[in-house]
Amino acid sequence: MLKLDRVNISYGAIQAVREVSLEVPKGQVVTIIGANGAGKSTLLKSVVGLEPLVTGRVFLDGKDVTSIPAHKRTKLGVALSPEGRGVFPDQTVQDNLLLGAYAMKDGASTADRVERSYNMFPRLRERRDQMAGTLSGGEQQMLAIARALMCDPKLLLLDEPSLGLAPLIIRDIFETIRSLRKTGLTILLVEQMANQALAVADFAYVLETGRITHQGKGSELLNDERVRAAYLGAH
Amino acid sequence: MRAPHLLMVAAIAGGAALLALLIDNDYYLRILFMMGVYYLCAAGMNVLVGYAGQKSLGQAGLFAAGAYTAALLTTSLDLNPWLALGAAAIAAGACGVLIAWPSLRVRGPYLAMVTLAFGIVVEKLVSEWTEVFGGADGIYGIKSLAIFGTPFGMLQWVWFVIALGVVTHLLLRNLLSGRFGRAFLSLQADEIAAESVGVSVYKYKILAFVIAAVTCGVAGAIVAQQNQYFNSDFISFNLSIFILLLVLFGGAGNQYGPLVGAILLTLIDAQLAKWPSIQHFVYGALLLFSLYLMPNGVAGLIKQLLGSRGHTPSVRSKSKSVVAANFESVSDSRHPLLDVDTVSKHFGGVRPAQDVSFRLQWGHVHALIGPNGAGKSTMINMITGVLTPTAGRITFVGQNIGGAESHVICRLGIGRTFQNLRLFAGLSVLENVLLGQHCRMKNGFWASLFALPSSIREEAAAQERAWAILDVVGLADLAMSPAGSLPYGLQRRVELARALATEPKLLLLDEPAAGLNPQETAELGKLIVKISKLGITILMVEHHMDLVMSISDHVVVLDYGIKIAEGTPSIIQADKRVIEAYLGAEAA
Amino acid sequence: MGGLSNPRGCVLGGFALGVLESLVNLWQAQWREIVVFLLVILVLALRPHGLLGQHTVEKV
Repeated sequence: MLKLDRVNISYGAIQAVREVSLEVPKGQVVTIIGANGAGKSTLLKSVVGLEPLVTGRVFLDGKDVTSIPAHKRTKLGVALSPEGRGVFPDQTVQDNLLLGAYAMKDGASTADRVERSYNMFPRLRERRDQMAGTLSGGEQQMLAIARALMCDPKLLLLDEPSLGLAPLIIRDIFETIRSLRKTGLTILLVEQMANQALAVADFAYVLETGRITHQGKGSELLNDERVRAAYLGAH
Repeated sequence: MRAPHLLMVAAIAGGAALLALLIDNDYYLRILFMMGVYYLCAAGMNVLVGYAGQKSLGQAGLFAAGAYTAALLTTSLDLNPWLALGAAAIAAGACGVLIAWPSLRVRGPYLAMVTLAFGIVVEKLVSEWTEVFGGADGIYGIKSLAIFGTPFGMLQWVWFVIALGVVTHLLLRNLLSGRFGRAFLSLQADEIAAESVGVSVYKYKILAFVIAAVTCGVAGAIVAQQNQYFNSDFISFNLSIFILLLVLFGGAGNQYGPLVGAILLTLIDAQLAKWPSIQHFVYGALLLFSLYLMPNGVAGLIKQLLGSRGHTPSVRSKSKSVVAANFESVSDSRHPLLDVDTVSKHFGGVRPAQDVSFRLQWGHVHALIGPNGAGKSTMINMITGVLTPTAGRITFVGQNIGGAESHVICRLGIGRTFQNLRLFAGLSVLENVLLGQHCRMKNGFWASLFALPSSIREEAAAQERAWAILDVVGLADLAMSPAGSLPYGLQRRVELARALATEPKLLLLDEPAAGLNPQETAELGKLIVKISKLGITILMVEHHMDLVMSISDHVVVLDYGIKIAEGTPSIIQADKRVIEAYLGAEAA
Repeated sequence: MGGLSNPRGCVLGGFALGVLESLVNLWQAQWREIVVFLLVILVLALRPHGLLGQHTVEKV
């Protein structure tokens, strides 16, 4: 579904991503773990078109999208739930969801998808007319994911969904990720919570200062000594 | 005050004075004079626009205040022109307060509108109220400044304005290089964070407006006294734009900006004087041009081309004991540290707090946990004055702080970090921490302005304490980097260092481990324990259960705004309601 | 004066200023603009987002 081929990204003099090549097969959950500043968010943003590449290519469903601008990539079936949620604070939950479907033309299925979002996240239904800025962190995260799903993507990108969330909610979010996978959605997940991410992923990459240092099946890396020491802490 | 800079100032001033001596032509002398006048306007405006970030469109009103005060006092009351000049400065300062008051809570286009309206009101006032101000006919016979009975000639005026310019520059430089400069910059970066370190946003905004008003007022008075005539034609919206342009085109926030702006724009103004409509067109174009292509003005552009010279590192402190000395055991057994008593908060149909009560113990590490939306951040915001409780009392060491302003609460001894990082991103790490010291530094406005020895000592002491804190948190190597350029985890540590610099009795941490990986979280835990051992009481809002359980002495659990449990970590971990609402079956 | 985020506010602001300006014109023409702009200052001082403007929410 997604293929990154020797991607390099720089912020001026600082090179954030070096020679990264990875693949996300259709219908699977792939995760990228790593420390702060490793370049994970930058990588996700480049997939959706928000970060320009210095060199390298991005392939979406076999198509080279490297030079296609971000607002056109949504139509190709990729959606991002950004780091820090990125909800529109001055608009209601309902409006945020509707904005997620902005690029979609048909109004009828939009209403269906809104219903589907509320079914997936009942808390959002309770708060449908509330300003998104007044929601709690977990509710905002749910809104961000629901909004990303509103354009019916084939590939869903999640940037640190567990950031600042309560343990119960984090469990819910990962449950949601599992159930989304069952519907056939392809997911690329960037996470700090390495244990949860590796448990849910089919395949995983470890990013260190912009470079991929380890890769393998989720379960393999969970048991890998070096990965445990660096990223899994005391657990 | 460093010698090289003083030498450069002397050289520029001396050069200008010499140039004036050599020029025989009154027309050119007048241009030089106006450069000085506009420099005065720009120097003050730079504080308001460049440092405090308040873009005022009504400075012509302050120019008028100074000019008409000097004019009226020397004509109707026959006052000595020197005294009139002083009175003009004071009158303009008072008008500065007048324009500041409605501008305190507005921002962006609303601020532009308020300041614009002020300028127009003054403009209309002086042109319509002809009995007092003379309207377009103006006021004649304004007394010129004189020395030993002889009124100033054009040359003396130029020298006078150069001298004034030098004095203004040196005084403002003193002010801006210390805690006042940092405080102004913090207003631009993040007002809520500024309040949390003890900067009274309202007070500093008013101060910035007054400084800009005084310099513009003095400039106006001088023009009136030199011309010995003044009328309402001088005061127009175009003058306000011109004064703003001086700073924006020259380079806002840059110490050379006002000079560059004054010189360049006075020359342009003189060249275009014959064609007023082209003048307005050019100013408009320059405004657009500088905002779009040169956001840091000409001075900023030059600085970029020359390559920025490195900051000279400030005095380094080696002793960690300095930090310990500040946080002596301060427990006061007469009063509980913090007493939250049946506090409630309602707004817009949401009830983030309902009759919540708890008490904090001196020297302990407390944690506030609960599901998202439970009201934890709301509680922290009520304790620190960002929000006012709807009901109930919050008492800190015996003092009621419910509804008090954030900067007051900071001074009383509560420091905090924010859930969504609020650093002063454009300032260096060291400057961020120094801002934490703001409320503990005792040098006032006049001491800072005149760089009195007491002020210099306070600044040096604050720098030492800041370095010591950077040592404690391990950021000393990055002290000079812009805070916004650091990786996320380190940015959080800067915010923590800044909060520590306020010398708090109680430190509130809002989700300090958010975005940190397990290793960084463990380091954070050790750091918090280290801080606690210094005698500081801690209350943290957290979701990372391993962190909470391993270092807390006492845990309070909120759910839907209600306190559902309280006790030691082991009690909380076993509590059924907590498990159900928050922890889940595998309580980690 | 009406509030930038509210179109109804803008209409209200427009009417209010227009009517006021005309009334003052009948009384003392030269004070017209002074009164109008003083009113703008007063309204924004008391309600920083305009009469009907929305206060932007910020999660602290």
